[in-house]
Amino acid sequence: MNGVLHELSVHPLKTLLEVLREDLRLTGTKESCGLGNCGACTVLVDGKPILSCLTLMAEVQDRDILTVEGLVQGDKLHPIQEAFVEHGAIQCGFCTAGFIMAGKALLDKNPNPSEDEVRKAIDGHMCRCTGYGKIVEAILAVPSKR
Amino acid sequence: MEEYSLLGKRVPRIDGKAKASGQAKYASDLEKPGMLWGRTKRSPYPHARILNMDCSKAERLPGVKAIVTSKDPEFARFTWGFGLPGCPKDERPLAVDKVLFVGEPVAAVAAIDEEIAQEAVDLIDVEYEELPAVTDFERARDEGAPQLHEGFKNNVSYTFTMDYGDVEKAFRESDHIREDTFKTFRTRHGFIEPHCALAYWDDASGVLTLEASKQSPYFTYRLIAACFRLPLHKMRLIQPYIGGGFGGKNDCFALDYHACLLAKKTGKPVKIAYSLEESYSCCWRKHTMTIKMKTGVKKDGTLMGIDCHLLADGGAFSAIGPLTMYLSGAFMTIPYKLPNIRHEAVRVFTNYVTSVAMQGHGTDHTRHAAELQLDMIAEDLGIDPVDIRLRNAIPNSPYKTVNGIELATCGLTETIERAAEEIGWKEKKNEKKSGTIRRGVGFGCAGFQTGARLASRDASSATLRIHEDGTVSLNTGAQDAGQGSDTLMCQIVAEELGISVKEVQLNRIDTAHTPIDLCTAGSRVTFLAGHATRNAVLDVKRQLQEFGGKMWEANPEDIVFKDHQVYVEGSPDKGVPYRDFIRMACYGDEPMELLGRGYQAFNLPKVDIAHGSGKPCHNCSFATVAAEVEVDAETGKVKVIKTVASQDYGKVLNLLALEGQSDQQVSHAIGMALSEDIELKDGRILNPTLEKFRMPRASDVPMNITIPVETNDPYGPYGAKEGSESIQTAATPAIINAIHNATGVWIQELPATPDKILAALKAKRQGKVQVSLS
Amino acid sequence: MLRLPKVEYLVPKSVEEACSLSDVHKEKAKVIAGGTDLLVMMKRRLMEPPQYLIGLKNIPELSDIRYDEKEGLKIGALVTLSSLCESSIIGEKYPVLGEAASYFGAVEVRNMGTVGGNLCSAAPSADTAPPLLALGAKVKLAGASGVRTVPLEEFFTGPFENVLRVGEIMTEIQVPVQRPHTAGAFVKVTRTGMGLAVVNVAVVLTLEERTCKEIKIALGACAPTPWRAKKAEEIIRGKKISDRLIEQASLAASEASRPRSVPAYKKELVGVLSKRAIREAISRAEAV
Repeated sequence: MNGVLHELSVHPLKTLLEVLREDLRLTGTKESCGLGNCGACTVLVDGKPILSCLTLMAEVQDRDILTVEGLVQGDKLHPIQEAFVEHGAIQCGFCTAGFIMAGKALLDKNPNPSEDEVRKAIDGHMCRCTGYGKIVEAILAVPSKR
Repeated sequence: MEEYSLLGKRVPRIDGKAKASGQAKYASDLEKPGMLWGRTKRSPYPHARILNMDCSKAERLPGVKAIVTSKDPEFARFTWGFGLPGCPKDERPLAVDKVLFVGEPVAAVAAIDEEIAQEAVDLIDVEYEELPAVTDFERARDEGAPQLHEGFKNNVSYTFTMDYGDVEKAFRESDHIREDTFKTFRTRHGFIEPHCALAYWDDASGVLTLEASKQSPYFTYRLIAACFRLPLHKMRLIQPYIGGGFGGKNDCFALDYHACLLAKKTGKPVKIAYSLEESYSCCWRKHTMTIKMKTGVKKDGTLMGIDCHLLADGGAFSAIGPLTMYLSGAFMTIPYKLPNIRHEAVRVFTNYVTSVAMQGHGTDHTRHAAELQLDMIAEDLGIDPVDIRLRNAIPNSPYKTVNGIELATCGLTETIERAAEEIGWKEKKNEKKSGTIRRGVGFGCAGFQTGARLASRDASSATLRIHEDGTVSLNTGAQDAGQGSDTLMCQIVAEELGISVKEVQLNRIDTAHTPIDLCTAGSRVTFLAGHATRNAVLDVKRQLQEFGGKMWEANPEDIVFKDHQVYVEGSPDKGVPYRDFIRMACYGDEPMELLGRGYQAFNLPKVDIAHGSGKPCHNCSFATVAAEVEVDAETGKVKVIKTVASQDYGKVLNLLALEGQSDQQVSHAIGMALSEDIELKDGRILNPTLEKFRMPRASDVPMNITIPVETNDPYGPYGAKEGSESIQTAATPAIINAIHNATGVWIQELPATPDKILAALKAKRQGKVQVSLS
Repeated sequence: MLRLPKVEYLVPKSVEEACSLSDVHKEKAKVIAGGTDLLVMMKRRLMEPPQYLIGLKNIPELSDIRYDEKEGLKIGALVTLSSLCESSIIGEKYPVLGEAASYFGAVEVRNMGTVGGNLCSAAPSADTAPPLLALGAKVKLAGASGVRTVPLEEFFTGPFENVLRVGEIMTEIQVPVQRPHTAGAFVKVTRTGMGLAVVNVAVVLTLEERTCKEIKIALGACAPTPWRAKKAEEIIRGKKISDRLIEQASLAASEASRPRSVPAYKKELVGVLSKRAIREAISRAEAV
């Protein structure tokens, strides 16, 4: 979990989201719909974006999990987090973690995406506050930040 | 024109880092030692009498700590309502003898974990006598319809009428008259953070604390205090970060009462977290209206008069609904010059969740209808839709509407011109529309009041303290629901003191410490809280200027704070760094404690809500949206390919935040116009989840273009106006008008889904008169 | 928080073990692949929770994609939609399948959802069904008493109903080798974003000298199950391609469709999308 090995004893049918938020107190990942339609619970498992609300603990044994908290290095934000702040891509912030993880996963695979590719990559994410414009801008701005 | 260091710039949010790093805490992230979890028992029927409730099995379940019902004395005696004339106190924390919608709470349980609480809820046996329900708002007033509320004949919740000028005379003098019917929005707020509340009592002090996701801590704190018969200083509401509101998290709500009473009975903190499905299907929604509008114009398109009758689906309770009816009429006299208007808005009760305020609040329904009809009229008369708007636009000079709205500025004309230019109207208006993919451009205009006035303690205040190192702690009651007001308040303080936003700390709302604000609603925050904050910082600045004046033997008014320096005007090199200045003030012979207080009320005479007259606000924002769409004439699918939102902001205070608000409003409008559709049938909501209630995704919206216009209003803080509602109001009709421009069909019932468009195209091909209403 | 009932979770290491567990527990057990359907239903409490969940993720062979020139393509039931999109062999030999998978939904859902899970849900709108039907796929079902192979067309029996017997598990999807000059196209319309299909259509056809040697037209979300528009296929099969023929076939598909909701609109959409899919498949076949 974010580079640190954890040994947990939990019921296999606990979801990864429950364990993150309640057992490990990493509340940065949110539950919005809880049914796989909003993307707010997105984390990376072995680098791939998945919905933690529909992922059983049984499925993440021995896996590498990255959450939004894990992107922060000490006091320094990851370039994608910085881009979100600078570009006004955050309003209420409830969807933010999910978008940031999805954006990071996209950029890891496709370092210079087009606007269309970005919009498709975040299609599973619901935002009611920003109208997506500045989120797309923020993700597109990351390559030049690096 | 004053040059500002921070105001008008793109200033990133002060809470951006906390939110981007996952550290910002929302209500559902909070935890307290010994915390219990609550779940709610809900009615399965749209209309039923409660005959009996047996909680004994639930009480015996191990892990259950308390159950609350309407028999608990705090709940048995308490009713509440929105508090305006025409808003009766018809709501209870738990249903008493009748339930009025599927999902209405009838009991709540607290247990050691959520699963046990849910199991206990399932063990509560409730005996109902099902009653016939009112499931279609257009039939609510029918003879023989079930009566939902005693004393409200024919299920009429509220009727608002207004009549100014002489509409009949206006029609006699008109060259052209149209009468059309429109059906508006079937949607809900759609915030993605479900409702959540955490309550706990402190035995030692007797203080009840509630941490909950709210737009309006003050409504809640008063109502909870009243329910529990607590003096206000014993009711403390602390505001965590909130995941969006849009009007759906105003007021006190069922789970707030339940959490507080469960906490009282168990002596432990109790958290109730709704699922999103619960929040969407058991809480609130936007009104849906059927609007019959008759408009008369001269042959050059000049508006003569409007006669409007609408019927609104109010759902099960009154809530803020009567105010919505007032707003649907009172603001029809902007953004165009309208000398004659008659309006009747009837709100009816139905057995569905209650309809309340939602961004656009009341005004957007009638504006949507009027903007469509204006385009219809323009087409009838062969007038360009941009020209007809320019002809009727309120000019940018002092103006008073027939019902008393007073405007010092109105930038509408410039917004129309800028939007038309940016969308390329001149080049596109004569394009031939043929083939499968047809493009079209449409316009919509709107205005919105800056600062909705409500009854009760309608003001805002701020207090601040400058620490010895020059940093500032700011307290304001204004809640940032995501729109960025927190950052703006800090910008205002920083601007006045010549420091950076980072040196201002805004404390989160805590009714024990933060001063009054009514609510984050009705686009009030920038105006009221902005003024209040400005007054607070000016208050402490005056004290510092007095000090500086004495020290430098200068006129206090000549002491300048700029770029972290304090100096006498004209001698910047003889000044001192800001921090040193503050230390000198704090540690001098007469040490100062640097406290500032600011207050802002509307200072306007009472508005006549019953008749829709009076000056409801100090200024109004105005916006024009131009939308370009592509309609696939074979599938009916509409793609919005370009949007331009030009708004008169008075003065731009934070461009980044305003652009974000503009984008949000356009995306809401795209959803409301094209896909959002709450399916109601026989008392049930068929699509309560995100899967089937479709709000726009990133691939459904274009990159919006925002073009600010400034009119420097004399009444706004720094000349500013609201920035959250007029663009959305202008955008929904722009999209529907664009569809007409592309295809020649009018979609008069929202949402304009592909099936409606295909049906309309088919009717047009067959030369049938289009009846697009179900 | 929406939580799952804490039922027992079984982790078989082989198909045989999975079948035997399923056979022992019968209706008390439910098999889980990606979980994107089953867990949602369990969370929404739309079903009586099973007593056992049989997780298939630890059976490596179920996630294989194999191809040979004789047997064709064999896709393990647990292969994710993402893997379908990213597989180079599928991209080369069965591009319509990769295309359909890319429209399945959001990237997160594609990373979790499986072909077997999607087919076994038997949702009328299942996106993997039309392309697999149009490719002539068969599915391998394993149970304690043995293995059987069923043409995918016979697999769906009604909305959310399939021929799986108690104790049976889908292990593999088999797609035959495609003839030369064969190409396919997939078209889908949603309400917003990349969500549920309003109608989806897949067409696979073999073209030689402008004559259609073989064609399969498969549709979803417009009938109680995913289905093939056989009358429409007959109109084109063996004939020389013409616009009129395409129009007739599309009309036949439209008339044969039996959508449960907004019928007039969906039937019209079936006609439009069939026409577009057929035309696209033709232009791709000509390029091959």
